[in-house]
Amino acid sequence: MLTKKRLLAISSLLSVSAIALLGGEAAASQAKTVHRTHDPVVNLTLGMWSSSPAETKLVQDQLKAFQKIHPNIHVSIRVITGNYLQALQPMLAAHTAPDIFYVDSSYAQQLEAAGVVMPLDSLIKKYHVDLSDFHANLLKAFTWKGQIYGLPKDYNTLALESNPALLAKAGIQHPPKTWEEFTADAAKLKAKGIVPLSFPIDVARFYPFIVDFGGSFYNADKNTITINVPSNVRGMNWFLKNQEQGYLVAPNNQGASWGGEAFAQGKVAMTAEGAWIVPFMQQTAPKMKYEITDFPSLNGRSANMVYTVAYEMAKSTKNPDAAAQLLFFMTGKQALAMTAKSGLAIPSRKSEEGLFLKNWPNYKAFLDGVKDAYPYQFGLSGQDFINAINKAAETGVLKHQSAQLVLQTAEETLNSQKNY
Amino acid sequence: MGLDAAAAPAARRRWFKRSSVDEALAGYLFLMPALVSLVVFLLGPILFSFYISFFHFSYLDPQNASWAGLDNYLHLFVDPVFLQALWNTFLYTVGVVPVQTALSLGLALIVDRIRGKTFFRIAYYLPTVTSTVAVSVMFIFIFNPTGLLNQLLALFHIQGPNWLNDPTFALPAVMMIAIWSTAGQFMIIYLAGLQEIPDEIYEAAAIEGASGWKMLRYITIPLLRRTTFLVIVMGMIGTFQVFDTVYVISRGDGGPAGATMTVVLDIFNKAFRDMSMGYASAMAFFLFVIILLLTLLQQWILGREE
Repeated sequence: MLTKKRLLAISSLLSVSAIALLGGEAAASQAKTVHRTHDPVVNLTLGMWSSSPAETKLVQDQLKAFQKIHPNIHVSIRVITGNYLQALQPMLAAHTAPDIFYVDSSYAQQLEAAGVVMPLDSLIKKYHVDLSDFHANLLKAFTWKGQIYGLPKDYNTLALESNPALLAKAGIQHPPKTWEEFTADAAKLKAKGIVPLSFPIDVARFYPFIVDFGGSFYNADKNTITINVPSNVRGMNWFLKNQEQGYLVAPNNQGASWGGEAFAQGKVAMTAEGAWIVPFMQQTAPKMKYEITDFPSLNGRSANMVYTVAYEMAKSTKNPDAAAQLLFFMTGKQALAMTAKSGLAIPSRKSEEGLFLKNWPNYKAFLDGVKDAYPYQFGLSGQDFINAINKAAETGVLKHQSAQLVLQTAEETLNSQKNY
Repeated sequence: MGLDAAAAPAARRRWFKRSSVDEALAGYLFLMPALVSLVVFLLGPILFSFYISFFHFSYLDPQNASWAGLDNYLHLFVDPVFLQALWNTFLYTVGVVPVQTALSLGLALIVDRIRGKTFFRIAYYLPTVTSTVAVSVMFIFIFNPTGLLNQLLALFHIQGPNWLNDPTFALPAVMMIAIWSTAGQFMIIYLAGLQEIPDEIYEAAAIEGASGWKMLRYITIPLLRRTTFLVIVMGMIGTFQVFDTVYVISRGDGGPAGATMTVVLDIFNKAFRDMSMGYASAMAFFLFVIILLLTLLQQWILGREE
């Protein structure tokens, strides 16, 4: 009996101990969970424009992936409709801007110089972000006075899109690889009554010609704009001459709002647009066969334009650390791999280009273009410069003015706008 | 009893006194929502805008605004973009207001007497209530090089221009849109004016043997003078403030070659694209002064005639 009693006592003791142990473990694990749930919950807002529901969905999916890693950082999306910059400015001035938000390279410098966005250098160091994976020219587009203010999420460059059926009518077998070849092809096309290439009178498109001939409108290191200098005349002259000869035709001359529209309507043999033309062609002219080749070189150089968008952080954010983690995730490998798979944009990280090309091989020319591409930005007077040069170039084409006069007019207009 | 009788008027006076204060208080309280919203959302911003027009004021960096004195105002006279915008706006006003006024008077005269007048009133008024953006987009198609207008001209063997991409024709094209879309609105004002003219005057004129044209020349038009004044002033204010049509048609850049750049579009670009709120405010007040002077001039001319 005693033995039985002892056994019972021992087994009871063991059971209690086991329960206590298990309970202890459970309590410990609960304590861990409690610890996690007691981490301060941070609420962040991500500001973006949305070009399509697919883009919003991509960002939502990226955020889901982020929240799996950071359950205590809650992120809500604020889709800014209408004029993005116009809506963003009062938010930044009133310190109500989203914690991180899209910034286009064309106006990034204005926001960075105004001190409304956060420099990221110390946070980049803290979170060991690998900057070498980004193309240097993309990163430079969001660097102001030596400090990095944004990390690029995607980019676009120019390529040449051509309609083989229309080229064949003029006896042209391949799209031109150089702009010199293009002028010869354009003459043949024009002789057959075919408009050679739809190309707007816009510095966002014709700037590569200036650079190819050794000119420059903007020195990013010194933040200086140079317009009326001899080195810019040749490139400007090449552009004006080709417009005058009808080799390059502005889309609005054909009743189109942009080159892709005229191209999809079969009104032109070629156009030079970014990767945004691909989904447009799928929707507008799904049966039309067309080729995408590298943006032609000129004078032995192959300058291109790069249009890039970054995530930047509002200086007024109350949670810079959490916002940095979100920003680095959204421009990190995992998020950009999702971008690569979606095909909505070309990811800004070199490491994701392979995955992107595997899924979307027809975008190769756009990726090729980034090597020698110049960001579409011209410093703090950038907007005034763009207006001045575009207006002068448009007048130059319409009134058959010389390149010298166009550059002179643009410079005079820009000078009259400075500091106001 | 006697005491009571003496106290009653004094009490009534006190009651009246308190009552008038109460009434005033109640009145002001009722006014308060409208007054507050006017001060906060209209008067306040106007005064602040006037204040910052004397500063180099960036919207993004208000702390570092620097005193500019009259610099912003003086620069307007040498700013080629603003001067072109001012000239374009002047041409636009000169082109639109007379045609718009004559057309709306003509439409009002027709619609006032025609059978099925309700239908025509609605039909002519419809463009006024249609969104300017929708109207502009519609006209982009009409003015397209291969659009409706050029196809119509081609029937008469006329080669139409590239309306919206030719500096010579872009502004007249925008004028046509404005005339088309505002004539209905002013027609309604003229209709109200026409209905105020007593029939007896026409009857008397008819007895005297006046023809329809003479009645129009000597009765209708003179008696509509005040209405015409209102239509012209409103038309001028509207045309000097033209923005949405040119914004849509030129995509905000006032092209081709600055042909459709107007003062308000320039103000908008300076304020919200270039972020120069101080300079944009100076432009806005300059425009205000122009409109004020023109309105005063017209009022003076009208007063002198009377």
